[in-house]
Amino acid sequence: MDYELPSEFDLIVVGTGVIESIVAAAASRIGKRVLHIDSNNYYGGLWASFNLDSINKLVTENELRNELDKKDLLKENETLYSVGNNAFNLKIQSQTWNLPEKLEEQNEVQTETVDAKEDVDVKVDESWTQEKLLKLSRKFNIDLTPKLHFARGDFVELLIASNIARYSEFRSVSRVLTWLNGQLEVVPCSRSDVFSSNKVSVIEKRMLMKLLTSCVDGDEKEFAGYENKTFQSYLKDRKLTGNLIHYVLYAIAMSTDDTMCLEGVKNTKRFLGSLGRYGKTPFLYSMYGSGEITQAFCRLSAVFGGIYALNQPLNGFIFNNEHTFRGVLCGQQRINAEHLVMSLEKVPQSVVDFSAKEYISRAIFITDRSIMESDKEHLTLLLFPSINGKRTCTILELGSLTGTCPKDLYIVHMFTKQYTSPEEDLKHCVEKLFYKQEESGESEIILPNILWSFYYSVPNTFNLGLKCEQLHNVYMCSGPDMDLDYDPAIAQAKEIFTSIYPDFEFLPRAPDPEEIIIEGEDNNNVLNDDNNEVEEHSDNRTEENLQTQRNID
Amino acid sequence: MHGRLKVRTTEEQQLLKRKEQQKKLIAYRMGMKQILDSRKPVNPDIYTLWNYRKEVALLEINSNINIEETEKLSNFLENELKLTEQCLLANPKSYSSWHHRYWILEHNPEANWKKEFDLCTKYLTMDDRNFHCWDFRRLVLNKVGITLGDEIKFSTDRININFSNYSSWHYRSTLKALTEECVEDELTIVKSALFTDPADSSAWFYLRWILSDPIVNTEHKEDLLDNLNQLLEIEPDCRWILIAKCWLIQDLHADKSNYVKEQIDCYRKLEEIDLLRKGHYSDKLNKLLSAN
Amino acid sequence: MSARVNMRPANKNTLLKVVILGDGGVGKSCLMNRFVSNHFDEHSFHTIGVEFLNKDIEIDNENYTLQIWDTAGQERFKTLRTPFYRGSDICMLTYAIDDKSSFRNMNMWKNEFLYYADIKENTYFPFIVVGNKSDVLVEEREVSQLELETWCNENGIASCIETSAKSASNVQEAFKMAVQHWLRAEIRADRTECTYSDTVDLNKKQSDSRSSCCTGASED
Repeated sequence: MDYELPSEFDLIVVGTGVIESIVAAAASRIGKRVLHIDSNNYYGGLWASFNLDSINKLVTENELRNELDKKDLLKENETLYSVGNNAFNLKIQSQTWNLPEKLEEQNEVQTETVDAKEDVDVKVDESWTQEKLLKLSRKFNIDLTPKLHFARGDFVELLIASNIARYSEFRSVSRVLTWLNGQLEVVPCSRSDVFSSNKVSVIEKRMLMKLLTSCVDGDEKEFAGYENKTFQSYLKDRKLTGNLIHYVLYAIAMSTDDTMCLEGVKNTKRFLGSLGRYGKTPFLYSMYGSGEITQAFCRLSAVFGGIYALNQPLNGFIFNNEHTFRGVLCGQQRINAEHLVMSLEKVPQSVVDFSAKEYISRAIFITDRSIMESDKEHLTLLLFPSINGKRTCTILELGSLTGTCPKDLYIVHMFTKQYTSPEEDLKHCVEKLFYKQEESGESEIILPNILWSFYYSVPNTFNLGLKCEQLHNVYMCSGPDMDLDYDPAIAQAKEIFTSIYPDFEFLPRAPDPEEIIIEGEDNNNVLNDDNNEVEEHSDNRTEENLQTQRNID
Repeated sequence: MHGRLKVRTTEEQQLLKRKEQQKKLIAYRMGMKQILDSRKPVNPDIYTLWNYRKEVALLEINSNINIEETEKLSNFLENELKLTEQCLLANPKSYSSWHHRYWILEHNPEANWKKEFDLCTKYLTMDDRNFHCWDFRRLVLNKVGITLGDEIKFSTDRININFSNYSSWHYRSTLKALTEECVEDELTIVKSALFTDPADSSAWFYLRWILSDPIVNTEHKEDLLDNLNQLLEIEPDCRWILIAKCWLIQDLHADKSNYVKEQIDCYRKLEEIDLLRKGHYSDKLNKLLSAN
Repeated sequence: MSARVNMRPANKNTLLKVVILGDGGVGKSCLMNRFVSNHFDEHSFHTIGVEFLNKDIEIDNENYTLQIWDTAGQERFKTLRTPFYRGSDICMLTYAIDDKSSFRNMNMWKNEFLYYADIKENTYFPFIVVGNKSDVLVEEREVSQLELETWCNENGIASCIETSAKSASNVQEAFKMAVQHWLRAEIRADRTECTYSDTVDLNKKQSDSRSSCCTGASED
């Protein structure tokens, strides 16, 4: 059952990252003929989620399939650009198992562990092995780019407005932690948290509530004089105690000592504004992993007629003499379209005259217990503040209730702005949060063991101001950024969509099944005698651009 | 036409809705008929009907004292419980339904109090402001072997989730008399609420209740007065703090002139910030001034 | 994309997610349209904007709502993934009686389903095999009833049926059979076990604004 792709489209989208997928969905939604194509056999590109097996086999080299003579497929005055470059891919630093392959070799390692902790009452682990974990491979959904969503952020609002929310399911982050005075502390973020926290005095409770209220409700007057001062200095002037400054500055405002006052206030508003909508904290996480998000947009696109093809042998982009996009070469087939939207990794090497100025250091761990154990499973965001000259680090701990890992295990994601290398940049957090063999276990707290670790870095291409000057009708989508949520990605997708289709609404609400009239459905029951009139009326109301059905046979 | 996405217009949706409503109306009428046939109250607050049911129930209970007939009786009582359940689903704040439920349970020698208790926990998790349910819980509490400690923990948990809630504070006050050991804890929890949100009235009432207990000694009150002064520094315009302060001073130092002045200041401030009750404060003020 | 949680119809019928799999052109959309709206169009294909269709069905005095998911053409280039398959209760494997290769490909579809739907190993899943286009002339038939039964036996699938969306033959029966089969399957008992509780549906306001910061209700 080999099908040939149709050969005429309005828009070809190459790469299935979040931005590309949003653009594809938005274009299909207004009735454009969209081909969404990826050379990978999975959705999501750098935004994908993998099971344990696949992430271990992740090959980063972008194979350039470039051998055939395709000249006969080109018209006069046309040039072929090869697909892909090596500048914007992820770079794996290391992938390590801290587990024996199989059970036989287990004994040795286990005695060691038990020796080290014999004074402590450990609930003895089931003996994990590589084999055992790999057997559960498909219970894992490991994100390359984990994201959280602000309950009142752009992403959540977009999902609701476009009715994509119906595809997706989320789980609330149940606690926000910080690292304070050498240990993990729960950040009191809501009114009830402030009330019930036994870590802050009653006076502090009032000070904190008052400050948070003024950040949310305060007008310009409140921050007059702080335009060129740091948020920290504002907090100090408000006579907040050290602990409170820590909670507000490093956790709630997700800022550093250098963050300017107004930015700190903006961040605080973003955090507090999302409280109280769903769950105890402002954040949501996508069930089964962040990779689901791209697929939700792709599914919407397909439902609205977009054609999807993965694992495609993309052989080149065709341009005419004026450097205007004509089509793509897929295998031996020429497919024409007016516009091209592509992931940065797919941009022809010859066009890449810029490079990422910044990288993101990332790590993923599989661990055997939570960083802060509790009587129930938590979904944790830990905002690790900048200490001893190290940069702030965002840490996310996911348990089995998120559908991303098996029971009794946790996945921990860490990321920070790259300074040297992922391992170096994240070392201080890893040392504080996890158990290390070398140290004898004097500590009272039982730290989680790292069973598997994966260090990698990705270019932060968000602020490159991607504009394809030399090629026409071509739009580039940047890769993953540092934002906790998808706000920058949505903004970029919207910008690309509006520059291609300036007169159209971006992702209007998709109708629910019961609102759609299926042809042949007996409307008389519903509409009694004035059937014709109403039907005509409904035609007018339908988006004009959804008129044509693309039969791909 | 083919493959075109058609969305129902508002008119069509309204038509559909009307149809649905008609269907519902028919179903409703049929249901009503059934209800009236079985003498189930449509309005759960017609207490005459409930009293009538109670009389019938008493007849049933008295006539079914033979062992063979206990099953029949328990079926009857079970049905009564179901009825109150339906009524409570319709109106969770129906006094008569709650009362009837408790009355039936009390008359059932085999009542499953544990189940009732668990139901309370569940409903209060869904709506912790339903004071009927809190009251019911208080009645049921005596019938099941729940330790006081557990129940106080439940109360603390509910208050931790939302302290702007008269019912849960009140329930807490009914759990046990204050003792020397617990008075500190109670003062701490209520202070937490006062400081977190001094504009929220519910905790002030709980404070009032604590202070009315003779077990709260002068030292506690002096401490509290200090706290209130601290709080007042941060929130000078909060009437609750001022009122509580006057109350405490009156209690502690009614006869000391410097404190009288403080009280007068408080009332003057209150007159200023709480115009709605200005007359009340003026009255207090006049009394103070004439007495001293 | 757990349809069960987010897209439940208003009534209290048991909701069953049904996916119809098979090669392009075997008549998946025709089967669905015949079943849902008793309508047939030879060139019926995916209708723009339709994610799935709901249809109520009564079996042994119990009401069920079948939520039948449209592949939206995504089967052609094998781009259906977990979000489409997850949470399926019934899988209808289809082929066309006059197309041998579509019959052969059922193996692939079955495996693809088992992989992406994340069916627990060693649990029985209620597949039903449907040979569509039973209206074709005898000389155009490429798959015999015997071949169908043999394949089902080899694959441990207990129910199969030949249908014609065109002549409406056996279409209702096929879906009825699927539900009856589901009823018997063990998976029914496990149904709630594999779903997660306390998840958030964005369309429903969940938590209480009273607990949020700075919006404390006062003096009520």
